[in-house]
Amino acid sequence: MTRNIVEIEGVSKFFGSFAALTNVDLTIGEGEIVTLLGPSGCGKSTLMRLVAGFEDPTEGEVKIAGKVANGTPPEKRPVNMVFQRYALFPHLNVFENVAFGLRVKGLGKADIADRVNRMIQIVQLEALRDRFIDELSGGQCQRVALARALVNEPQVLLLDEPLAALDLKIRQHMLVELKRIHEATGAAFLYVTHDQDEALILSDRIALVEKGRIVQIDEPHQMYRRPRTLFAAKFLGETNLVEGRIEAVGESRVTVATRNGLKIESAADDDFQTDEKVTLSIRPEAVRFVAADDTAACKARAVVVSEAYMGSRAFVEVDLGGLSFRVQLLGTSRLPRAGERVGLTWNPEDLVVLKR
Amino acid sequence: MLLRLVVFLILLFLIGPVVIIVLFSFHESQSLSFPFTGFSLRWYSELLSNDQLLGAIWFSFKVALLTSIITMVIGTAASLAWLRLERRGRTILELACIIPIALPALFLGVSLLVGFSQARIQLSIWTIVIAHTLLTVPMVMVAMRARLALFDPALEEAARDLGASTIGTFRRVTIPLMAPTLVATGILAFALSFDEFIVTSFVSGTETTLPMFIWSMMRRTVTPVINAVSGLALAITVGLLVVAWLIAVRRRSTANALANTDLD
Repeated sequence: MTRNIVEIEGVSKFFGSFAALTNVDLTIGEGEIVTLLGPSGCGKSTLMRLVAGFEDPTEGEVKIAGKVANGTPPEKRPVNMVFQRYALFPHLNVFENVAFGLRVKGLGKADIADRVNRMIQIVQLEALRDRFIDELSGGQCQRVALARALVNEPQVLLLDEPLAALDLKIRQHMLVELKRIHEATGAAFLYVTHDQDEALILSDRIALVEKGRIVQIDEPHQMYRRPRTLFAAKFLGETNLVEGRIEAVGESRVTVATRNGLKIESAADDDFQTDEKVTLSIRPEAVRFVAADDTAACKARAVVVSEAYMGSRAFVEVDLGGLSFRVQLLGTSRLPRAGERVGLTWNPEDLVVLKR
Repeated sequence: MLLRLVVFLILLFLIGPVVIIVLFSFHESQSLSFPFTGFSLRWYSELLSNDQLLGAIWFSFKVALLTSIITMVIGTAASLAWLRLERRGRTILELACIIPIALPALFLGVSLLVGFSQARIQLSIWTIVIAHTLLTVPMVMVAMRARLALFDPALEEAARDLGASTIGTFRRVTIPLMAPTLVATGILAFALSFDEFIVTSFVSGTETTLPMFIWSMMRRTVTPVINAVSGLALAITVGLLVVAWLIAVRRRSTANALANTDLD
């Protein structure tokens, strides 16, 4: 178990009577990438600003490197931030932007040049060292912002939606870059985003934030495969939601009776009572097609409504006795046609039952 | 076509008198009308030998310099306040700025005169500077507002995050970013103060600024020396504009130098 570099304990933050954060607990281990994921306005940026020192919690404690940081101004904290729109200094060139933190600390000229040049090399901006900020592209600005923060060797790097202002293509490229830079520097990352793909690709752990509370903290695959709430199931990826009642409870298994008379067996992470109202979450890629007359394999019969082929994958919309259902296939599989009668099957382990 | 003609006529109307005054300031004869008989520096040399006139120019220069320095200091402080205020505070500050501009200069002059005499303040160069500052600060604030709205507060946060104290942030980020605007507004304040007439005439006491001197001169006779004075004033103004422009062009290197000088 690695040491925790950031410990957030029972933190609440009020702006007037508005509760931006309510009783938040979160730890970040050394060198770990933790993502705060949630819709805009959920409080994830506020939480990051509490760690940076731009805000102080109304209740609770923020500990950085074992010391309570409440009341410590941002310039005295061993953390650095990459701002949403970079906030690079327009009056300074790339080198001076990166050197800013070191100059403020009063390091020697040779030392500064050394460290800045090494960092500029890591983010691959050697050719642009003397450029001014308005002469850079969005992706280049991003690299400068990263270098400017990381040159100070922070124990935690805070990244506030750092890719939001970039094009999709550059964004994907920068994600790979971020991972590489993370490995090169070894700093812990606290990464704020509303983009589930970024969170899934980058994170060691994801903290899902909803209305000022952390509703689930898990590793990405666990968060995706075993969401704990309806919100988590809907926010990460696509899913088919089916409402129903618990019909039978077994050993970490339940059977759910749906409104249209289906009985679906599913893995269960919670304790459920018979007759309890629940929602089933069935991911589109968890569903497979079988022949409609294959009674052994078939768990439900449906009629194909439409299909959409997207190259590497395809989506098929089916009607399941009044329920609209989305199925994802590999692009290489045979696509059923609209109007075709099909059988559906799934693995109960891939299904999630959620309390309503 | 008509549009171009209108623009041309307006420009002619604006620039025509300037050209004529400059031209006749070099006229060799006393006459202020065509035909133009020849060039001479006669009126400029007469200007330079008029000690009273030179005194008035020097006095106006001192007033304008003091006014622009004080205006820049107050303008910076007010701008920083504006950046940190909520919306309601900003509105109040903006309204406060409009009042001195909106008031009739006559009213402002009288009230300042009454105010100074009530407070038993002797009329001097300082009462003039105070009156001018009252006029220039609002102007400067109005001119600055557009630039301030573009100022990204995240830049100051970034500086703090990188380890700069409040004062360090001010010196390394806020001031260098505001410097070009500040210098430009300082020059504007100088120009406003240099030829202010109405309010000045109330609060100047025994002192005489250049516009007041020209006014009293013209009440006696119309002499081409006035053209020379105007030409000189124009040269000073244009000179200042060139300086402002040069500063704007060299913005980056100066800003860089400002940010990197280690004062602490």
